[in-house]
Amino acid sequence: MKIRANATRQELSRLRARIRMAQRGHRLLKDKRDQLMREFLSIVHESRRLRQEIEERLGAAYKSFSLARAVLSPSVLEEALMVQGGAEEISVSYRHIMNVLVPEMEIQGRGDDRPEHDTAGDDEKKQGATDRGLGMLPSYGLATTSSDLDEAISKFQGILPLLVRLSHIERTIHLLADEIEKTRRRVNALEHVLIPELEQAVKSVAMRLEEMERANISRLMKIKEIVRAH
Amino acid sequence: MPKVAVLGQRDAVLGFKASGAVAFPANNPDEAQEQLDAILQGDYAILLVTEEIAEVLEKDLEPLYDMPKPVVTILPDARKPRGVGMELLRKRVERAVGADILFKGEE
Repeated sequence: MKIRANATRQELSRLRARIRMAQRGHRLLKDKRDQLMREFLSIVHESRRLRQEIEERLGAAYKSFSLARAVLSPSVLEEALMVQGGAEEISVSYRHIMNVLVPEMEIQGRGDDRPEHDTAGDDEKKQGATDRGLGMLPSYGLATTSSDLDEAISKFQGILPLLVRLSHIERTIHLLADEIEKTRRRVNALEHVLIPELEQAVKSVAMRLEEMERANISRLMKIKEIVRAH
Repeated sequence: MPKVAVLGQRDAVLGFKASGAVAFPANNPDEAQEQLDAILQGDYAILLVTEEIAEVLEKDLEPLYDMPKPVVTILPDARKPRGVGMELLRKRVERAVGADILFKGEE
């Protein structure tokens, strides 16, 4: 699309003002993009490290879990894990990175403030997670299950906070990626489309004005000649 | 308060169930679909999905990435990790940066 402009001085100065504006926007957006990129890269590397760690630890956790499953009879295992051992609660807060709203999550449900011996029916509250001694109090009977199961469960427990962290980091990456893409498009549109077009328009208007100027001068010279001849 | 949901094969989610996540076992695609609907009804901040299910439900999970809740995270598989989660990360990086900087010079 070519920018149409009347060949007037007013139009010329208006076009020049638009170029200045576009260049300022371009500079600002470029800075924004660079800053987003910096944030993005550091968080991407963190996420990658975290994911690798989780994959390793999860592999180990699954391994001890299948060990436990091999030792215990299916019905005992089923019974032990039937009761939902209380669910961790997640608190979600938000933070701005360069005007992008990103979530931050944390596990809330851990700590000593939970009653250790709760009724089974109250399983919403019964997390039984205590950080002292053996860690979490299991929600199943110790008599019928083996220590392999305890170990597997505690491994899973160690992984959960990492997963929560990974979740919000990955979401942040997704949101930042969107924003970077948008910003990059804008920067490119300004740099490669709008600014060149405006410059082209300024050039053509300036040339037309000069041409008119020259036409005017030659007309004046001609008139002068005619006037002098009389 | 929102919680953590785990969607996957029965043996994969049991361990998480005891460690503080709410388990949604699913052994076939139809079940997975049903469980996903159930999860979306509830108050969950995080949805952990095993690779296998994530591949089956790819279309259904897609719109969730742009929603505030739940945040979908893909778990590596119990038996043989296929790197679905990593692949997703790589795609996002590629989209944002325009090049694959994450795994450049490796593999």
